[in-house]
Amino acid sequence: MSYIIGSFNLRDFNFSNRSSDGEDEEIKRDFDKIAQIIIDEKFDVVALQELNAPLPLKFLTSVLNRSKNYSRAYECIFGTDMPNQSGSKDPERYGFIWNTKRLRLLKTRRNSNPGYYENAGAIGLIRPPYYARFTARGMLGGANFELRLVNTHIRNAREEIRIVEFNVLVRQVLPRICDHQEISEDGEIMPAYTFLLGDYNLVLNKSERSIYKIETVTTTNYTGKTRSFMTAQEEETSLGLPKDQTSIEECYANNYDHFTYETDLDRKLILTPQRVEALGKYFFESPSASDKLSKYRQNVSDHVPIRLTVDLK
Amino acid sequence: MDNSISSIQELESISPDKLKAAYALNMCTVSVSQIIDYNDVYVLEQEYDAILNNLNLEEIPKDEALLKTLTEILNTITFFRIQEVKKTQLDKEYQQRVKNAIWSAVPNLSVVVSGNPIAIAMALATQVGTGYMNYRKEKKNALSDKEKSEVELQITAIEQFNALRRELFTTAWRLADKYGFPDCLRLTEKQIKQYNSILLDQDEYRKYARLEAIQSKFLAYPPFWYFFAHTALYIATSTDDAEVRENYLQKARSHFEQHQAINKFSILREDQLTASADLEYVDLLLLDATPHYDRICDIIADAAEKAGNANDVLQLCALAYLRAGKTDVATRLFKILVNEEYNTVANARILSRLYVSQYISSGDREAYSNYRVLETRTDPIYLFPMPAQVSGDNQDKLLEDSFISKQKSILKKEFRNSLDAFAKQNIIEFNSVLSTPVKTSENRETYYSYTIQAKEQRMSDAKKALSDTRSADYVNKLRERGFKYGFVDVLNSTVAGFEELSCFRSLDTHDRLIQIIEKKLRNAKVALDNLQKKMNDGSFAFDDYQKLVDDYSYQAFTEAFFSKTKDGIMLAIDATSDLKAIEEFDHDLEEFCKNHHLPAPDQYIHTFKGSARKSDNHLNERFFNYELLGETSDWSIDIESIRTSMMESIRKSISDIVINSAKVSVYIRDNKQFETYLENDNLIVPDGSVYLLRQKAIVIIDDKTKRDRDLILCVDGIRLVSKNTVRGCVKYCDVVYVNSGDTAVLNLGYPDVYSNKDVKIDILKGIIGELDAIARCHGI
Repeated sequence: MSYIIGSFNLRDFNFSNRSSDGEDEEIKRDFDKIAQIIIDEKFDVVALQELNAPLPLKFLTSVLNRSKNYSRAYECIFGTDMPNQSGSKDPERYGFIWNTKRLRLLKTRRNSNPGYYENAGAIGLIRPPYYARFTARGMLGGANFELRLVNTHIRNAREEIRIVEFNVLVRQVLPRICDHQEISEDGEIMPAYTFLLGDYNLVLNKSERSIYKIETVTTTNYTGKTRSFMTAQEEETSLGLPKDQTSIEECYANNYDHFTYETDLDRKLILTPQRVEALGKYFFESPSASDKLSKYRQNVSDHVPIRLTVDLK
Repeated sequence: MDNSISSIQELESISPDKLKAAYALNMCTVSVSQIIDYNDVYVLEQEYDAILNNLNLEEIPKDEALLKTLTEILNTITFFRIQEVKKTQLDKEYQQRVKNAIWSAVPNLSVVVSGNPIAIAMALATQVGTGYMNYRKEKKNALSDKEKSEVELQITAIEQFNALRRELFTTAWRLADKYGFPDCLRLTEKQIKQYNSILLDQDEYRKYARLEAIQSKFLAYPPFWYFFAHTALYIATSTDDAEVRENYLQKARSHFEQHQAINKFSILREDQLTASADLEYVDLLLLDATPHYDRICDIIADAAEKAGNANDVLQLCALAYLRAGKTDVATRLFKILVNEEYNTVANARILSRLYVSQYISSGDREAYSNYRVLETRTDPIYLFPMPAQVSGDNQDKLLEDSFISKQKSILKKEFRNSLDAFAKQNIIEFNSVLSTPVKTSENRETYYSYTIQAKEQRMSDAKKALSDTRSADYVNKLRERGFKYGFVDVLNSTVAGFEELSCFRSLDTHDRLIQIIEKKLRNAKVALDNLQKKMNDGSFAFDDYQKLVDDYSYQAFTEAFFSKTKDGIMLAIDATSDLKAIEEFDHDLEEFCKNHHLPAPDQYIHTFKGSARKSDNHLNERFFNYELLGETSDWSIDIESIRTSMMESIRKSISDIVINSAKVSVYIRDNKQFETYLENDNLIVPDGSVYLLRQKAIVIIDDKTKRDRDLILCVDGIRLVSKNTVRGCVKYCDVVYVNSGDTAVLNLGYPDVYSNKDVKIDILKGIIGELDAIARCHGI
């Protein structure tokens, strides 16, 4: 049985008709379309970035739950109180949507799950990651394991800074979260599989264009032993402005969205990262590629979602 | 609390509730620990079936956390359970073992009906054991590395069970506190680990001693006492020393009694372990000079009740009843087993023997009619023959003789067929020593096979290569191959294969038989040397190749050896006089076939419809049409180009024929579903093979409704598929379109008619017309 983890940058997610990210683009947010993508891609959990307010997220969840199905019932959570933000006007927050028929949030003391990671290692991050622990345990046919998802959107600052933020996340935060030992309130002991995911605003080494890029394998010995983490998903995911693109491939701009996980995880799991081909699949009625692109940018976002299929070996 | 409990008496002073709680906990923790320590999917499966999924929730301590952890364990097991296929394979191996043991263990049954106990030579429950015990005992030595890796649990599973085990220990610790049972009753992780490793010990004496050393820790864990007793009994039955035997029998008896004493709570709904223990106890009690049959029957009844639907246990119960003289109950159990298709051949044999005995001794008509029913359940060739009427005193003996001679003739047939298959297999190896210039990785077996067609094909390929401008390359390749050594290797492995058969080893003519091949090799030496020389100096020509293939084939080297060996084995079979010997031959051959990946011997003699499966019989399938070599028709063009042009012409229009896509699908050749359709194992092509069909097919019109009448459009015509059977090919020009008002049909030659309201027959008719034109162009 496999679990599908998604990550989706929803660009300025609110009810407004104009984008507030400086590009002042006209937006006609199509909640049905976004819901359709989440349902059709069978995401069991999806990490969301660029959420501006809790209400649109709740609304999206209600749209998701509108079509009744025994195998689906979604729930959402919005990360309101991001630390390190005093004085900042950055409205951007994170959130998760998950299918409660497949996964549930782990109950921890002090209701710390999910929450922003602000412990050792993360001090000084411009945007601390939002960290949630899910489990399939107790679900129908669910096995005994924990999924730890570390949701990030590295701030679009100068590229050197982005690299530094990435290194802090992977070398210091991620190993700590992997090793974090806090048993749930119900005393459940489970192996945990940890993933960093989201919009890194950094291209993976495959691309030639940028001099600031991240390597597929990042090593660290921050926790005392040398371990390596692997960053995956090489397809381009952010979208350019609509011009006169003739093919869908031309619509993409950068490979910014990734998953990162400890390298030896593939001894235990079969991991298949993929880009969701949302342009072609969900806007097939639009005639040309540039049409699809402008529709998608207006109705959905300027990123396509990515997905990671996790099979337990 | 201190470790103060060391005897049953003290144990009995503890309240049942506390004991039950301790027992249930230990049961679960040991179960989960064994899953992890043995790291084996089959053990996982056994623990799931026998214990974890079988806990009697009424009897288990009512503790929320414990129940929750147990549910989680069950969930996780369900997640990682093995596929049914693999399980059946393991089951089959066990059944095979039992089958071989049973028949030799059941001697003359002619006295059964009088109700006397039957002296079965072997204590089967002790010697063979149940599936549960057997697998664990064999596990250490029986599995090869490859098999081991197949049954090993995945690392994720181990990780998850480990986590759950830890949880279980925590819960257990808390429960001990809550129920206030002495903590010494609770098994610790360390103790369990030690126990698990002891159980895998191959040295039974040491195993017993090690168990003895830890016995005081396992007071509240009944299975321990079973294994303890089992080991003692096993030692007792396998030793030759009378004193040791007596000593260990005593020990076994006391451990079994201890087991019975503490195993009074039914923590499990169906208790295979207790049932097995019961059965072995019965084995032990039957060894008494004057067995106490009433008590024994009570224990067997208890075992049968606790067995639930574990057929392996039931089978042993049935045999135990036979030994105790309860023929009627045994008959009932054997009947159940036959109907459950559990180890059918062995059980049906015994059952038929019982029926015949009943009929002969008392003229029981019911036994007679039951026998007739049994004949429909299994292949009658295995059954003990039923006489038409009761006659004479000597009848039973006569029947037994005729039964034995029948089994002998079956066995001979099996030997002949298996040895032929073995020869054919070796021919492929032998022929492939002389490699040809053609790439044959996919159809290697057919290409190098013994058939005349294959040989002609190889000859023509070699001829081409040797008359080619690059013939030097090929000769070079042949030279490097060193065919002489290749030949010797294959011949060696042939004889080595025969050596596995104990009946071959024990033939008087053994050495002389091997000398036959040796002599042939000696005689061939000069000629083969010459041929090698020619390869070395590059003068090797097609004539030489032909000589090599014709005069020095595998058949030339081994024909006399095979026929004389077969004769020898046939004589040896004829010389046997009892079933036990026949079973040994049979077992020998089965092992041989398994080792060489040959079809199981009994597959050649299945005349019985119920068990003759389609996939076993490829003997009549045709893979090459004669057209291929241009003998019977004037096909000069290859199928591929016709296929391509046909596909091009219909590609656009074919999907238009579908009215309701939920009920009809069209698969074109390059479509994945097309392959899937043809990969269906149940597909039967009576006049050819699926391979041939796949070469010719271009479009499949799949009827997804219950009628299941599909059409396959092929290069040379149209084929109707009715319920997975592919009918003969009807040429496109012979298809007649009939439109009778509201329904249109295609007449495909009497009696086949195709109609489907979800298909536009008129468009299909047009397509058939187009295909007809193309076929005519190519002269089909």
